[in-house]
Amino acid sequence: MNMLKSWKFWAVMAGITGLMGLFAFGFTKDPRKVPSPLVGKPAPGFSLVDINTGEQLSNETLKGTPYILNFWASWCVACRTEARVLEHAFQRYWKGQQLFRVIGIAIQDTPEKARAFARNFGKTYYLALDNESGDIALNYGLYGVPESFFVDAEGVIRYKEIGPVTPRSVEEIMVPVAKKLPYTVPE
Amino acid sequence: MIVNIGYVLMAAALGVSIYGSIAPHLGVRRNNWNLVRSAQYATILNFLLVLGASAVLVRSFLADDFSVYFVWANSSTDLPLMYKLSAFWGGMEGSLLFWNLVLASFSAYVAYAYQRTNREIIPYVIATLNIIHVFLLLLLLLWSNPLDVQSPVPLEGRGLNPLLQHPAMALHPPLLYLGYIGFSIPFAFAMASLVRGKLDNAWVVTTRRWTLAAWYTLTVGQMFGGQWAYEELGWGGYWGWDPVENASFMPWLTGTAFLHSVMLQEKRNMMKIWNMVLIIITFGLSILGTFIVRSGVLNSVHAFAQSEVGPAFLVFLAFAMVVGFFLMFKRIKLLESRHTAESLLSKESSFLLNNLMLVGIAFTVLLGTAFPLVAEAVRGTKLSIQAPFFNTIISPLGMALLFLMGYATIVPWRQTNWNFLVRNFRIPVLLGVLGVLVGVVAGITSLGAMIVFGGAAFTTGIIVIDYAKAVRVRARQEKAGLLNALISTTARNQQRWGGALIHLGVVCVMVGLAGNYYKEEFNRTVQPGRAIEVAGYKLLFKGMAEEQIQNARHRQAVVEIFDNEKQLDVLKPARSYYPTQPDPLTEVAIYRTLKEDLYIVLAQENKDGSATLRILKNPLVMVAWMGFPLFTVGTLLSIFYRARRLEQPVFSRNLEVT
Amino acid sequence: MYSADMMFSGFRFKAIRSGARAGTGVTARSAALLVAVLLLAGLLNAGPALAQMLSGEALDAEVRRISDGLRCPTCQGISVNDSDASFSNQIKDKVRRMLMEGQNEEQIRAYFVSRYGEWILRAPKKEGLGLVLWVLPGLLMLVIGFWVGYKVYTNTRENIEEQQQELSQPQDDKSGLTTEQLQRIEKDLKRYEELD
Repeated sequence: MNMLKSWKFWAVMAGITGLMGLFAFGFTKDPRKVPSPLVGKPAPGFSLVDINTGEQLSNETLKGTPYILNFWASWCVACRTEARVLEHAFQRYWKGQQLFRVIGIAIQDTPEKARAFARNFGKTYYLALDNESGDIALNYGLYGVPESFFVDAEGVIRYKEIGPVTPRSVEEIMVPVAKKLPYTVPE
Repeated sequence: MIVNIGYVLMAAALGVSIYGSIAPHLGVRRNNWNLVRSAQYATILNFLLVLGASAVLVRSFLADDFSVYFVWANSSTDLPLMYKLSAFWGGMEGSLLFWNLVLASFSAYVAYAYQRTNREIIPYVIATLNIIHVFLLLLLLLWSNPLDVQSPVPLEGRGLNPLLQHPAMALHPPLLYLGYIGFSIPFAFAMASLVRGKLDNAWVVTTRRWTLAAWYTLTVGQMFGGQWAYEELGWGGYWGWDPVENASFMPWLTGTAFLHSVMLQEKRNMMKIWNMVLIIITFGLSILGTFIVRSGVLNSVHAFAQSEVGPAFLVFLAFAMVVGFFLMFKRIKLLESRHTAESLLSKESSFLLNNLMLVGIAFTVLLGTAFPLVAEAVRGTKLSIQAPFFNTIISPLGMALLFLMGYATIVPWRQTNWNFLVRNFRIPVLLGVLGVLVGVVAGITSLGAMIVFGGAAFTTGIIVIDYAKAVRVRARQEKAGLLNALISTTARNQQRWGGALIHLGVVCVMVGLAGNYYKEEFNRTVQPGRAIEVAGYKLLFKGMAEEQIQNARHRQAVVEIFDNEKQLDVLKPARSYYPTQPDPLTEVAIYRTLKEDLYIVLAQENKDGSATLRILKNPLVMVAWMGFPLFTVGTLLSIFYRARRLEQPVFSRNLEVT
Repeated sequence: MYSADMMFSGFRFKAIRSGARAGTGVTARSAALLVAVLLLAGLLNAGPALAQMLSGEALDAEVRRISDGLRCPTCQGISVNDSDASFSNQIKDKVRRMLMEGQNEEQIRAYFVSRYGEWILRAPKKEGLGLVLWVLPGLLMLVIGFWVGYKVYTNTRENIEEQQQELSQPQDDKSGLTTEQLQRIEKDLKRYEELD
């Protein structure tokens, strides 16, 4: 077989293999998940007002307490599925163990609709509203809802969840981070 | 019940295609033409079976049979008849069946029409086509069957996505499929020629029409897609360099390169290896196109839900490429040709340059489409590669092609000299400069647009002069009237003048694209009863109106367009609210002239009764659409030329003809 | 005969070389002219220089230009400028405010990259890995173009030398073929035999 000695043949085969490998690699990645450059950096500043109680909160006052910063909206369907997960985390890890707080920020929303959503889906944790120009959302590089950040006691973002928060990421990432235990972020 | 029949038909088709992929080979091996013939019949039978299965699906759509999941997901009782039919290819499963149907019909035609000609290679043509069938039917039966049923049976379907309820959208996907699949015919002939080692120009000559037809449907399919995007998506453009658009553009580019380079093989016996490479790549890119749409590997507006067919497509793509190139390298000695271009100043060389640029563009598109994956693999971060990249790299190449199109029209075969060129290009170059000057006088300052105008005038000039010269000669020879001379000139060399028309179509499209260089955009908030001056027009906003169109509530801004007090048109850009959609869809309104489109989007309806309008002046869009009739007539002329007779071998070495 | 041929080919080479440089030969001169005309036109109509503070139409235009380089985060393929999605409107607004604060394009882009990653740019920066993307197509085409051009060029020279040899060689066979041609046939036949 002469062809097996031809470098051109092997170059073509290598090219095909490379391209196929690249696309096969693509299967292991979700194109909708864009890694955030903010992970490992200090959380951008914010100051919030609770839509129910009027309680004020800022990243400065939160220093020393880890927290989930959850971005959501009343018009977002996927946010319904995570409402229960977040509420559960709030009950167990803040009310119960004082481990980390849960803070929800509704974006592109109105206070009335946000309140109605919170009632319907049983959110009792701290809920605030982003302003109309979306300053907080843009500062956090949001490109959809729900997206959530986990900020440690030093005020550094340790993890970003794109899509609904799952019990698994609460247990396997957020809790260990809050407890300063080792953790791994799954692909 | 009837759905089960569809299933059985598909399963039978799979069996038949497996037979059809093996029998021809055995027939050749055993010198048994009957076996080969049986495979031909199997291919025709396969078509009938797939046709039957498709009929079952169509029936389910017409009967609103929502027990069929695919029908439920893509149709509803209130859907107009046309869209019930086009919903067939509105989703992934149905489009796969449609793909099967088209390929089956093509294969059946090939099996039937080329029974006597191409005797030596036809067995392997049939085998190749049937192997593609086996793959598609396996996909259909295993992972993505449009006839899958559900229970309980819902009373109403989910309906077709309102964005897809547009005439262009009914035509755009099937035309693209026809194009993609069309290229599998020359591919099958190429593979068969390689297997048989019969590497004269027969496969090229036989499949020339298929290639042209595939090229045409791909071209027109993309134009319909552009038209749809322009009218429906409301961002004022028609091409977004989305991965799926790129996926259809790549085989178009290599297909165009192939279409040109086979002419070198036909006429000058050159480029035999290269043509093989091109057809293998073109076929591969057609498969890749479907893969990208279906796999969800690359994020795209067009992507269907992620599913298991992605990996299957990848495996098949790898298989086709490896086998194709393996066969090619195996026969490489037979393909080697001593003939090459003899001079840099020759038609041959201009074709080489044409191929270099078309394939270079295809490579750029592939690179830009796949590079986000590379970045993710190497750096772990995501990148966006959109219009700014593609436009920067590809626009200059497109411009160069525009000039080349004219140059190649009259540069002679083999070789020429500088004198000839100077003599023949004097007037076209002058015309080109004139084109630029017209742009300058019209107040256009964009460099890109001027180059394109210059190139368009240059190339159009060359083509028109070339034709005029031929007509004049004919008129003199036949002493006939002008009309007769026109007809007889065209009829005598349909291929050539068909090609010239297509080239003029390309010029139109490029001029249309150049309009993007100086489009203008305005955002204006207007109170009812007030008029604004914008883009050289006066727009009078009369107020908001509401209209119920089918199942959507349209909030329209009624805008009267004036050009100096003369009313030109009343436009009603709107936001339409569908009961099933959370967000309103924008319905653009366009006032079209040859010079420019006035494109109005109702961006927002404000609380104080005013409306915020996004107004775009899109120059020369109509010129781009003018490419459509030119492509059509040109392709028809070229396809129905009197083919040179193919010499058929009377007998063949290891095939006894019974 | 001999010398006439040489003269002819010499002339042709000259033509070829100039043709090769210009790519499409004859368009070179018109291209130069075109560029000159265009430069002039560009100078006459050059837009107003970007002032520190912008307002009105100029500000609008600058917002459009910058937001045209950012991708709409929620859409596919289109820019912030072309989109009316809520995120896009907020980004446009942000760009406008940053411009009014006196920030330039570079700073604005840097801000968005720091929040979203390079993903927010519609085309990667021309550095590092991104440079590969920008340079590779052109580089490959140049290399292949010159290589093919060189092959054709040398082929031309070979052809002419061959023609001359054939003319000077006596025909030593009844078939009317030259020895050179016979040798070639021999060679081709051998190649076929090697095939199977």
